[in-house]
Amino acid sequence: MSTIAPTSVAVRPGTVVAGAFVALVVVAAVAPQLLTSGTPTQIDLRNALATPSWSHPFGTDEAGRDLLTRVIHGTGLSLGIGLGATGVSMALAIVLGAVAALVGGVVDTVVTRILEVTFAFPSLLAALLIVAVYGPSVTTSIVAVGIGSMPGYARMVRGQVLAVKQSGYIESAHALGHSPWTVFRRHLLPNAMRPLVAVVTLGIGQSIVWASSLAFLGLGVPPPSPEWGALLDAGRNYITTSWWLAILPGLVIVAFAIAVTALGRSLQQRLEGAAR
Amino acid sequence: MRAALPKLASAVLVLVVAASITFFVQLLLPGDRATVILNLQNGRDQEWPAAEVAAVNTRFGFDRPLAVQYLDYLAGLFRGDLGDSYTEFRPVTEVIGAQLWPSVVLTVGALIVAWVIAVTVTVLTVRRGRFLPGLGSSFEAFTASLPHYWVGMLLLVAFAVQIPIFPVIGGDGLAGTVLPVLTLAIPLSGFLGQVLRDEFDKVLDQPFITTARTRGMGDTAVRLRHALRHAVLPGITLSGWALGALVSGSVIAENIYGRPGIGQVLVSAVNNRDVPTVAGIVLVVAAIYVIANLLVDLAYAVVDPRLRTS
Amino acid sequence: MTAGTTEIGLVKVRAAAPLLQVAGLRVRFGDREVVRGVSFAVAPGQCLAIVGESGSGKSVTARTLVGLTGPGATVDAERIAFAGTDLTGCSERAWRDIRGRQIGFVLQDALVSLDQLRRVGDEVAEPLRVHGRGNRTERAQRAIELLDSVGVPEPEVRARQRPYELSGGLRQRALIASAIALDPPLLIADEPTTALDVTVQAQVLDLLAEAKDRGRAIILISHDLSVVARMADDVAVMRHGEIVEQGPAREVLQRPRHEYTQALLDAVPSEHTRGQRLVRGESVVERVRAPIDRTRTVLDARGLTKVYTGPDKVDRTVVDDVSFQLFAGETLGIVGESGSGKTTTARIALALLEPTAGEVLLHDEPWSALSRAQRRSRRRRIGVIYQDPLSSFDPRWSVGRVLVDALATGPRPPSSREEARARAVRLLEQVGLGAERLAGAPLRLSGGERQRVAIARALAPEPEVIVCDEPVSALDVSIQAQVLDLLTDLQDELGVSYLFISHDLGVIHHVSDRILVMKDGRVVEHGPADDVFERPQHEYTQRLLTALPRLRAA
Repeated sequence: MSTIAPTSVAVRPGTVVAGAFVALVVVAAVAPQLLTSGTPTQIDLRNALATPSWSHPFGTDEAGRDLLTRVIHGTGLSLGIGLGATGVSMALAIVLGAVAALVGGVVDTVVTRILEVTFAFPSLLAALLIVAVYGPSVTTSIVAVGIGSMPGYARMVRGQVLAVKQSGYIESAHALGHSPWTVFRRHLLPNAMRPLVAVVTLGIGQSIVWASSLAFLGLGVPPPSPEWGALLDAGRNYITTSWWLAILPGLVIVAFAIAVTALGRSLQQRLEGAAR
Repeated sequence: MRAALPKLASAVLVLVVAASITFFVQLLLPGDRATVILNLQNGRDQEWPAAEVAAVNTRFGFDRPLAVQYLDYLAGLFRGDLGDSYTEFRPVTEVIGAQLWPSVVLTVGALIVAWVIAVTVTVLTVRRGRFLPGLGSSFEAFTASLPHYWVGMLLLVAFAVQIPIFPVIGGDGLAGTVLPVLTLAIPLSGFLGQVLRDEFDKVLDQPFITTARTRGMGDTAVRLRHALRHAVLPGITLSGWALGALVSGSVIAENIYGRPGIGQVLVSAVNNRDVPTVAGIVLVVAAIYVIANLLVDLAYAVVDPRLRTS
Repeated sequence: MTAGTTEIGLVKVRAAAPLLQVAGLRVRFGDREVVRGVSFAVAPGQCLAIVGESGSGKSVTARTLVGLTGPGATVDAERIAFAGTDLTGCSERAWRDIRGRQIGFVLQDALVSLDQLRRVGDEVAEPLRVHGRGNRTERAQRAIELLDSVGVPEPEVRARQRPYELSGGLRQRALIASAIALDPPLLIADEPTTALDVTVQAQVLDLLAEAKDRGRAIILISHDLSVVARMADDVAVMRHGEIVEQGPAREVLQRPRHEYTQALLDAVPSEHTRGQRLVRGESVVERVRAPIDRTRTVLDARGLTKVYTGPDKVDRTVVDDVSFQLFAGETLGIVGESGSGKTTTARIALALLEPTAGEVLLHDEPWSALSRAQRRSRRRRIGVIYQDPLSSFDPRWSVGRVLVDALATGPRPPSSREEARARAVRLLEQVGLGAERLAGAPLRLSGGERQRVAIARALAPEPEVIVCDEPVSALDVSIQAQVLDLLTDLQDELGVSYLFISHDLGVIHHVSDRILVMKDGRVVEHGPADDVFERPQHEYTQRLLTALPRLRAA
């Protein structure tokens, strides 16, 4: 007689694939040695710039290092930066967006104006500004990407919370005589947080993409780190001859971003399906 | 027209706040600014004698009270003066200078191409049978998540290296513009397409569409004459934001294709820790963004006359 | 005959050849059969009304007549003959020629049935353009003529405006104008008067009647039997995809043979059904009520006024000096058209909205004057039922949780889970639902069942007053009848008072003891129900009653 349990909706094959891939990436981040026996720094100059083959599925770079191994070992750092940046931007977005929507009035107007200003700073440019001031590093990457991508999410959060706040069941709860705190705790918070699942997973995918974009420009984690973006930057120099050095790590990033977003959407649908 | 005034005032306010932010960011440089500048200009990392530090302070005006620096900065903006570069010994406006135009061409061009792709794909695939809509939708979801650098490198490898149609390093002629524009337009078209498709789908269920059919209109005519105008509305609102996102992308596209533009200037400035130049570019972009949004609001009012009557 | 009733019994000479003949029409969506073998005919100058509730298949039938059944539909029929042509197996191109030129279609609610971004003139002239009649100037001129012919004043000005700039009535006329632009011999109107104010409704029906007099054939789809009574020569009653009864209007409506038709007719609330239950078998069942105690005032509104200041700094007075009293055990009906301020008044009475001036007393104690915190403990004494209960339920909560939550706010909150569950079950039984509903989601219930749950929730804290804001307006006639019966039964049993708001005069007349008539925020008339309806004093009330289509002659 409590909340409705999520009905068991059939899981689509695409979601299974996405989930499996994300799981694989997480394993690579936490325990890379389970997936590859090599080390990312193993130089073999005789085998430099080899095309992809069975022994080197991603080929080798200019120092003969196996690219796949480097990608696997870079996962932890890339995922860490992505999660960190997402944390930063979500925390800011929720604080700004939710407070604006809940308190309303002057606070809402002020916050909306602030958000308008932040929109004038496109995410990459805001990130670059921070990097210019503090210099490239892991921390800077996290903070820069986090702050740069915050405005869009803040607007989304504000929209969701506003929609819930103006729902009929909120007014009904007031009409029954519940206190504002009870209404907030029992109705507003749970219902507003639900759609955010998809937003957060979208955020993780996008954060990794932006962090790697920073590194691609040479302004992220410095080489010889096997962080994905740094691999892209290094591979760029050989784009005309050994294109796989840049394209394949990029493929991994794209695949991860798509997988995470797809997972998030399907998770969202299951949660909402419970209320359907 | 009267409704435009508060919007204009709001836009100016946004710019002033943005300028204030960029001003204060410059204060955040770790360490004493004069020392940092001297280090940057001479490629060293050391302490400098007081006389030299004082000279730099006077030259850049760091010895005046903060409030005066701030007001001077704002006043300078109205004159079109973005301050002096830390590393290049000349005003920021000169540094940015002629590089602005190619970037504008790239960004606006990409927006137009993205719209063309999105509208074509959506109008052709929404609700046409069982297979096509899913295909169109997946295509859009896929392209929307593609990072600019990846699309750029793929296009470069495919159409400049493997099949040499376009130049690898293109310059800003027409041939050299095609691939960079596509690099930016493809992901945006996916994003716009999703929004367009969702709205188109909703619009097609509306009763006035049925009314049009009862008059004997064919399906394509209904889509183009009635549904399209309604469906593009959210997309138009997004275009303002999209222009800002395109600027981010153009930094990367210019980087990949070696194309002149503020992207190049920006990256080298960040590398050199030349904060005024970076701040200047960011501010110029902010100004462009604000103007673009004003234009978008205007465009919206043209398409949806419900907003004109107040 | 009292003023305002329209004769429905005139005998009409039927034209020899029917314009449209349908035999054995079947429509399937996948494996769901929505229309199961339907046959009817209509002749020029005649109006055939197809009556039914939601799910009866009447709208699908109407759309099939212009080939717009919808995607995924399988249509087959023994015969669909229109003006001698066989329409079965018609190609899409042939349909496009017929639509607009031979058969005109009018949908409901011009606000969403006209393209809001295009000018009215363009919308009206579109059939001309589609079928290649005249050049642009000629079409624009014809559009103005058409608007004039449907009674739109200043047609040149209106043609250049957009639909949202016109009032509801003018919009609907423009919609009809676009349907008759090419003067098609057959006009199909699918619920053309739903969601319209009574006065506007009458104007629209007049227009359709005019078309009929000019020799056009009309097929009218409606769920509203009074509208049908006004317009139709023949009536076909549809239920679950079949026609259960068909024949001349007078016979079907006055001497129905099928029990469903009889039940539908009985279910229509009006002055004839006052004091009776609407759902009944053979005989009339009278209500058994305790007399109303006029010494106890449960709700007292004094001089309520609500003024909104728009962004253009213009003041709009939505509620203007409204006063009323609600006694224990009675139903006070507030009736008015859209924009009359009745819903705003209800929200002020519930203290969900602060009045600009005036005061509300609950049980002779200050109510609107209290602070929000002070009101909270007294909220249980006044409950509310909305038109659309679904949005008032938390989408994550089961029916049981909704009820237990409401019980907890009452005077005797349940002390254990078992007690809570038992009382929730009792509430469900009180509103005619079974215990198996407890664990389900409100979303999965039908409209009528949802409203019952909403009523159960409103009853849980044992209030003395319930504000009912259009509680049955979104329900089918037969479901509406059940819910109205439920409300009156509960009042007879528990002695609860109702502040009943509706735009439907029949419902108000059926259910109210006293009535308030509102227009533009003011009370224009008030008094006992029979007095107001039979001897209206105010000109507006008289106009409302004249416009109201009646089902039976007095």
